[in-house]
Amino acid sequence: MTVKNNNFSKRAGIRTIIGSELRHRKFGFVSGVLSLLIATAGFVAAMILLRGDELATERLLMEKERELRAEMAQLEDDYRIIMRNMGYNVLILNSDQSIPELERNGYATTFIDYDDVWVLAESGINTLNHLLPVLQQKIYWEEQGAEVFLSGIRGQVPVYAKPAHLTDDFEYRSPIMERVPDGKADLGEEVAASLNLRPGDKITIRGESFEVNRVYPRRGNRDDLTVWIPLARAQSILGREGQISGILALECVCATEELGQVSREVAAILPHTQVFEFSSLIAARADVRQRASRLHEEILYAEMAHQAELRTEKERLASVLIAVLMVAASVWIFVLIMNNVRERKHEIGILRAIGFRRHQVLRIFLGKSAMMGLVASVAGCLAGIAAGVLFSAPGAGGVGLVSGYVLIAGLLLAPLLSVTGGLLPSVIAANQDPADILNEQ
Amino acid sequence: MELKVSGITKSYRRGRNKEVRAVDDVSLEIATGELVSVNGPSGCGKTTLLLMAGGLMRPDGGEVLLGGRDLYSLSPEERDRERALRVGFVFQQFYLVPYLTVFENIVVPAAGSGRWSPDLGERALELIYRLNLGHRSDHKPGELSTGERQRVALARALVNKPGVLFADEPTGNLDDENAKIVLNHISGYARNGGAVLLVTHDRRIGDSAHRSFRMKEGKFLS
Repeated sequence: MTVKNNNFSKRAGIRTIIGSELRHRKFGFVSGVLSLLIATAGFVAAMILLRGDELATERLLMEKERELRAEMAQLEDDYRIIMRNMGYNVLILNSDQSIPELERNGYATTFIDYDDVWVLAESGINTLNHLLPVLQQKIYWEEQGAEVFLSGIRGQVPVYAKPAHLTDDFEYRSPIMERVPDGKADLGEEVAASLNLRPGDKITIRGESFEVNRVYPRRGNRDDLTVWIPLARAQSILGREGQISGILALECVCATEELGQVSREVAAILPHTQVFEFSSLIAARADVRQRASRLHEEILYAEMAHQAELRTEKERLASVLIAVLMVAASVWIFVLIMNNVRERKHEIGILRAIGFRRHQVLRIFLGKSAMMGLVASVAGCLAGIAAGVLFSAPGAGGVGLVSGYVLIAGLLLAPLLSVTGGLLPSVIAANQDPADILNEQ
Repeated sequence: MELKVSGITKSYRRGRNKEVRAVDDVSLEIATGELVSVNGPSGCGKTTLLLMAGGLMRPDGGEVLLGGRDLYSLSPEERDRERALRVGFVFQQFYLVPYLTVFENIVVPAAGSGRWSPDLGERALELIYRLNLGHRSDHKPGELSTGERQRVALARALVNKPGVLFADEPTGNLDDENAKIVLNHISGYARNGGAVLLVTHDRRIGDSAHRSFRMKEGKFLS
């Protein structure tokens, strides 16, 4: 006759006792494993959710930054247009031009050569981005019976020192002022309104025929009283062939904010000219740009701070919940093992009587706790990963959110909690006096 | 002399000031091949005497020599080991481990003593057959009759071939037939060179013993 379970040996003895007892008292084992599993799963899931949240926040901030950059670019473009509409930063005039007279009349009464603008453009000057030759006079428009400012323009002359701004055809990628097509005229709002002119209307100025190209919206300044025509036609009408009133130049804020430097450089190239600086505008423009930039950063930092605050709150909540789960699991293991010790009092007594030493009894109870912890650690990690992935934001990264550290911590957590919870009852069991137990009979 | 108990005493405190002397200056010697019984009514100190003689309870005074070694001069660990190697216990309540099979219950002392060997497994099987438990070897204690349980407890006590077997009311829960079987095996063990200290309140058991002592209020009656 043979014995089925003849596998009891010195080494396997305690393991057999632990394994058989776990199978014998399944409820305690299952409820212990469940409590540890919940704590482990809670920890792993919380870590995954926080990681997913962190990644989502990073994406949100990057998206926000992209949006703000786009808004900033739009804002800069708006400022650029606004600056053009407000007037030009620098006006290069004949050195004989009286500035008080210029301010009084609103236009220059002396002239420089049209070629001067090309000399400046080809000089390699890099403090100026946009050179706009303009011939401007106040005239009596006989055909319409009205006084207007006639402005001859040709668009920007390419500054060759700034090739990045130019297309292959030496045209500006983002022109500061559009050309007036040949045979056309652009009108200020007041001119168009008072003379009842609309785009498409045929007009003549001192015998020269034009078609109204567009009417600018009201700007509330001298532009409302201006008629823009191609420069060559204006030179012809005004009898100023080869001449211009001056060069409107827009200084680039990226290159310099120093006004004096612009003046010195222009004077070195065109000594017969003077530079009339709209310094307040330049400074204002730089200030506006810096303010916009600061605002952009402040919005971004505010959003980052808000997200960081939210994350801190979530982490605090998660840590409290995890701590509660851990303590509850550990206390439950303590109660279970303590109850187990009471239940197995006589077993402990007889094992001690037949020679089991204290450390062997300790191993039996701690081994049981550790077994619960080991089973719960694997199951808890799997459950935590499933819950974390399931409840994390869509597209957060799925299983990729599980870091090795979290997995290791999750696998160690349950055995640690169970051994911590089971330690005191195990020590109590190991220290029970067998004589007291056996004497009870 | 396998067991020599000299002048041991043990007192318990009952209540605040009352002290009860459970064992009072008792001496006893048991040689190999000898079965000694101690009779007496419940509460006379029999079990206390047995626990002290078996190395489980330190006496207040006197000494216990087991195989010539003073048990209570040893460290607790050494005493545990000495007990595992040299002593077997049988109790009225059996104290079987409920989730282990008959075979596992019998060999469980090997895990404590670290003396597992294939020979020990063979000896466990031999005891199982000899005690007529062959058909129960894979059963759990809950599936056994009372007599069978006590036989398993006896097999567990004998599997390590102890020098001394301590039996505390081994027939207390058994019917006559099972009591006879158990007593026969205990006597057989003594005949084969073992020393037995058997405590009981059943006077009939005294007939199987080589020597019997009557105990009352912690003392042997002369």
